[in-house]
Amino acid sequence: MFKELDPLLHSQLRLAIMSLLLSVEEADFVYIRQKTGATAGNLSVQIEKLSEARYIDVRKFIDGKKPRTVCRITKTGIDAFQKYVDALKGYIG
Amino acid sequence: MEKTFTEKDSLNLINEMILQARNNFRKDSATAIIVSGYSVAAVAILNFVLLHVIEPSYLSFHVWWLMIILWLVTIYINHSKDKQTLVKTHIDRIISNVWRGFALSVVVLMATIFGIAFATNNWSIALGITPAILILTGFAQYITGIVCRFRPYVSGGCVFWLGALATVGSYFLNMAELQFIILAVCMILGFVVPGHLINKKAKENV
Repeated sequence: MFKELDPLLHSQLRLAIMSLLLSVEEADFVYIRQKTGATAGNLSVQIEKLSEARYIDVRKFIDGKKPRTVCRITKTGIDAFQKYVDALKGYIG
Repeated sequence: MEKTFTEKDSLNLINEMILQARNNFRKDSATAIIVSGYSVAAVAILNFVLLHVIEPSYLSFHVWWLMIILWLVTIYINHSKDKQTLVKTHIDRIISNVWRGFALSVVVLMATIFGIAFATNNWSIALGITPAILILTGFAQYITGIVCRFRPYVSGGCVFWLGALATVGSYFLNMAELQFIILAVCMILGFVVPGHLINKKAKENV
């Protein structure tokens, strides 16, 4: 029987964000935008959703005069990602 | 677009994003290592020259206090780089901890060697400082090269190890002052050359 795919992760941009963050220690909003090619507005919304689910930890601060947003995947996020990949394997066989 | 996002697309996307995060040699990432290489080489040559100029010659070793300035400059460079960096990878964390461990090892090594020298009133043990530092530097550089998969850093590590052996060879020839020339050569071949190569590679990546 197929396991249900986590709807929060089964979205192109959110999955891209999670995959990127899984591969690095932490990443700036600008870096994620460069790598995913998403618009700033859409990216903000998806980051907010992942943060609300506690899949990622978002740190906002002022660096000199520049506002910065730095994201990092959480233990909950890693577990959810692992479950998502396990479920995917079931579909692809 | 979201509606046609299939399970196979998911796997492809995961792969693509993981690949995107790999092999990111960042612009000027080796600046600290290049500055360290040139500075230590310059101080080593200065020590070699002063050995033949100053009386008593052991006073020439005080030039190494200049390393405190280098240490502060390196902290400043790394701090500025950290502020500009948009991503911190797991590899960055490993490498920065390897060099932190190296710095602590050098401090403990110096304390140990000078401690033994004072306790036994035998300063010949100080001859071990240069080879020991070269071995530690070679180890840290070798690990850095392996972790970031950059062969010139691995070769640089080997240069430092060979330098340690060459230093001991110079002691056999009763030419201990050559240790400073060997140290300078190792710094240029082990730090400066691979450092410039990695910065060049980073520019090509941009």
